[in-house]
Amino acid sequence: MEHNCIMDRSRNDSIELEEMRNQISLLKDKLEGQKIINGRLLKESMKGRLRDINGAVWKTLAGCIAAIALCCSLFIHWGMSAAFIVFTVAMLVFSASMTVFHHWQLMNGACLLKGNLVDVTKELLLLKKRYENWKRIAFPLIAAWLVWLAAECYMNLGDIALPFCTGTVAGSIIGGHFGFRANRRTIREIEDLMDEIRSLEEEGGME
Amino acid sequence: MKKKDTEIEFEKIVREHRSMIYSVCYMFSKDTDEVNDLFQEILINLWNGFGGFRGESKVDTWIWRVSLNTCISYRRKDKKTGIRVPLTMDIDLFDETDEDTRQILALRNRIGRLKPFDRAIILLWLENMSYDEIAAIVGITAKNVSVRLYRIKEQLKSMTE
Repeated sequence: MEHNCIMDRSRNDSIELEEMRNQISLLKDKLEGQKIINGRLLKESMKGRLRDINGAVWKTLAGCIAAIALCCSLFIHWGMSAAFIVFTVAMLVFSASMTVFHHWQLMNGACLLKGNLVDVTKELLLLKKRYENWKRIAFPLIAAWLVWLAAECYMNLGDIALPFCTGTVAGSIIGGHFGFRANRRTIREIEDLMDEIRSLEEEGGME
Repeated sequence: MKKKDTEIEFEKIVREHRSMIYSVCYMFSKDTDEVNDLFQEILINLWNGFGGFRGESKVDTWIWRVSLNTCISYRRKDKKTGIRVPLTMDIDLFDETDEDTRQILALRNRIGRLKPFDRAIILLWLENMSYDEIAAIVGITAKNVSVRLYRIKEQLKSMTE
């Protein structure tokens, strides 16, 4: 009886897997008749790395320079304290450096993709997690900066202090909310993959 | 090797393996756009690593590793802002136009419900690779591949029950 059950089960397994093999053959047959790649796609791919690095670095640098110029001119014009202006510039420069450094690390990580799946995923996830964790430090830093900004506004701006602060704080809360949600989602995705790797490691089967 | 020769060699390898790369993208994507993005991302990564590829592993193994690594670590928000070049395809494998496509979609849906590493292992197994070859690509032992495959098969079976 038990023997028959095992036989039935193994026959069912074979049918299931045979069906999957047939389905993958169908996919291959369909794809065989397709060109898929064109010259433009190959050309774009070959210049991809340069575009990615340049794009990320230049956008960050341009944003940082514009923000520094705008903050300095406005804050000096409003008569805000030198300490606050220096702190703002330092914060912007630090954020830009972290972003550029992260992109540089990820681009180097992309070169490691020839390694096995477990090692590469671990390496890339650690890089991404470090960056996402850094963002978590950045949120309270921005909150502290906002409080300082409000204090400076009240000391220097007079009547327009309240509307200016309300607008800035409201914008920051909305931006922060979406940023924090995206950050949490990314961290969760990273944790899921890390869990999968951990479960592979716990089975004691790493090479 | 001159740059021109490298490019010609790269194009040749990619054209030979285009179906395999597409299959991986297809199994890791929700729609045609995502297949397109992933395909382009894989080509970029292959090209970036092509200079450093000195034949220490088989070309097939190298392409499998880069493709699967790209798909596993890819997230929609990583999508590049650059130009998306459409693939040269006159069929839509996400649209149930005939019985073959329905079968292919059924396979994709089943595999798509697995976790990323399990998805990679079953794809390699469906390629008729040996446990040792799968182990070398994934980075686990051959024994672990067999244990893992047993669990994956059980999981796939329970999906149809």
